[in-house]
Amino acid sequence: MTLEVLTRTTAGPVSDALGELARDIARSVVLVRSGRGGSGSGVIWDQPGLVITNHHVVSASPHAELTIAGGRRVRARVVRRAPALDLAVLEVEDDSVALPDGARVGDSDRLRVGDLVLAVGNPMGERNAPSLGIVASAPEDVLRLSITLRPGNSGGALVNARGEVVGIPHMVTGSGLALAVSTRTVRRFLSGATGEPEPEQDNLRWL
Amino acid sequence: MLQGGVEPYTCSMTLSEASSGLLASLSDDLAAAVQRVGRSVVGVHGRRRFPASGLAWRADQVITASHVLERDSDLSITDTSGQHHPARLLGRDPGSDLAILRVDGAALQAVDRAPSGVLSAGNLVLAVGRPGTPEPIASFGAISSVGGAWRTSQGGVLDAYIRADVALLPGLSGGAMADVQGRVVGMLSAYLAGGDPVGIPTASIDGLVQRILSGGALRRAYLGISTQPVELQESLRARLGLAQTGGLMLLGLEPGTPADRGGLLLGDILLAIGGRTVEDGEALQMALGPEVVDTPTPIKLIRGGGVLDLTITPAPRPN
Repeated sequence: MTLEVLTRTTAGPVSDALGELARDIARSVVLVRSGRGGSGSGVIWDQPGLVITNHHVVSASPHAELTIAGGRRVRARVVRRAPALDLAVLEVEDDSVALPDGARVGDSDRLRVGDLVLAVGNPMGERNAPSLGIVASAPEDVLRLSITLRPGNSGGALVNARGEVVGIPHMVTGSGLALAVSTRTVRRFLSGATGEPEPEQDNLRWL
Repeated sequence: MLQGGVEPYTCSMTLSEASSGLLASLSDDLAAAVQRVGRSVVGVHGRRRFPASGLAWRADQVITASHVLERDSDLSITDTSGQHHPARLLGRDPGSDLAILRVDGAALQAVDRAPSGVLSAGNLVLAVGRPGTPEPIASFGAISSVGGAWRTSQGGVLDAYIRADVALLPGLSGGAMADVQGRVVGMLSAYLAGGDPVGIPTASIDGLVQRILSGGALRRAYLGISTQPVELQESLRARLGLAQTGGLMLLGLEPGTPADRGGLLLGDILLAIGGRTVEDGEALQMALGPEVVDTPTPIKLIRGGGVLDLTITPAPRPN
């Protein structure tokens, strides 16, 4: 299909496809509440029971409350942190809780400048709101994006056109500009190369 | 707050093949458009800080935003393979924020231009730059408006303009505003509308380039000074009733020049020229446009802790 045909006849289907993509991804995105009323987002990873978020979303406490698709709230514990990367891993405390399927994780190194990206998170408490943008510069450990994000998008999912997570948005750097931790960095973090395990906190009660 | 019991979850559906394919196709096209435009986008080095972008207009000519050139000499560009080439300023028009550079030996690929007058509000555009980076940078948005004759905030008149809500990445000024097929519709400036991105349409650029190169009405004004931006102390600003937070301190003054004859002294802090506030090198360049050449121009400055108003007649810039 030539590009002229694409732009003349497919605006509607593209718009529909974006809506479908946003709904698809939202299943794997959770609302994260932690510490003194702070909130952000988290992504159910493709490893069982793990939820990835930004360290700064859960910096105030070893525990968090997750709201998963369907409105259900579950308690989770921070099991690993890397403040320098702004990443943290949460584990749901109740083994019997079945999380929705984890997100499909893509390769952030294959991103090209101009590639479409969609961020799904909880900006300003609005649940699962998507934002559309493009990759602004060549991918590195941190991705630069031309996209409008707000507080609450932190820790959510940044996906490519195929619905694969390629980054975790964590910072707004200017009007219409944001940064996301790349999945390359998340993978390194999860493989144990960086970050520290959370000390055991069994006798602490979450209020 | 916690809910007990186990709730079974059905397997979630994945994104349909059709939708995924459509978006992937659009994504491929955007990435390809960036690369295509990028072939004609170069880095421009004309100021102390962050490089800016420029567009290859011909194999030996680059256009860029006038405001990113804080000096008239010691200019260079970086081509698409990262190689530096010296550049010579052929002329500039601050009113339309356009400058033209001559670059020899770089075999630049001239921009592929979109047909004029095709785009309108709502159409998607890409902003593409290459501020000294190996890969281009890009942002995207939609056209907000396309207009006719317009007086810019810099006192110039553009015969047409394009406004779009593209994010202004650092170094994007002087770069391309392009359609989603990778064809250039205009040059980006962040200086013509109070910080909002504006595209000068390619057809307008042709006219401006001709006027600038023919010398004519676009001479630059010359004072004979070298300056350094300085911050004004809060207490000083309060005492003198000044709104601006900075000015330009005179570090150099050439004998026999308009500045010397007009009574400027080393250590003076310039505040405004011809009514335009000057807080940095960019603003100074903007203030020294053709409209003040050979024209008595009010200059406001701080000397000895007080504000002084002088009148100086800038000369045409020597070549």
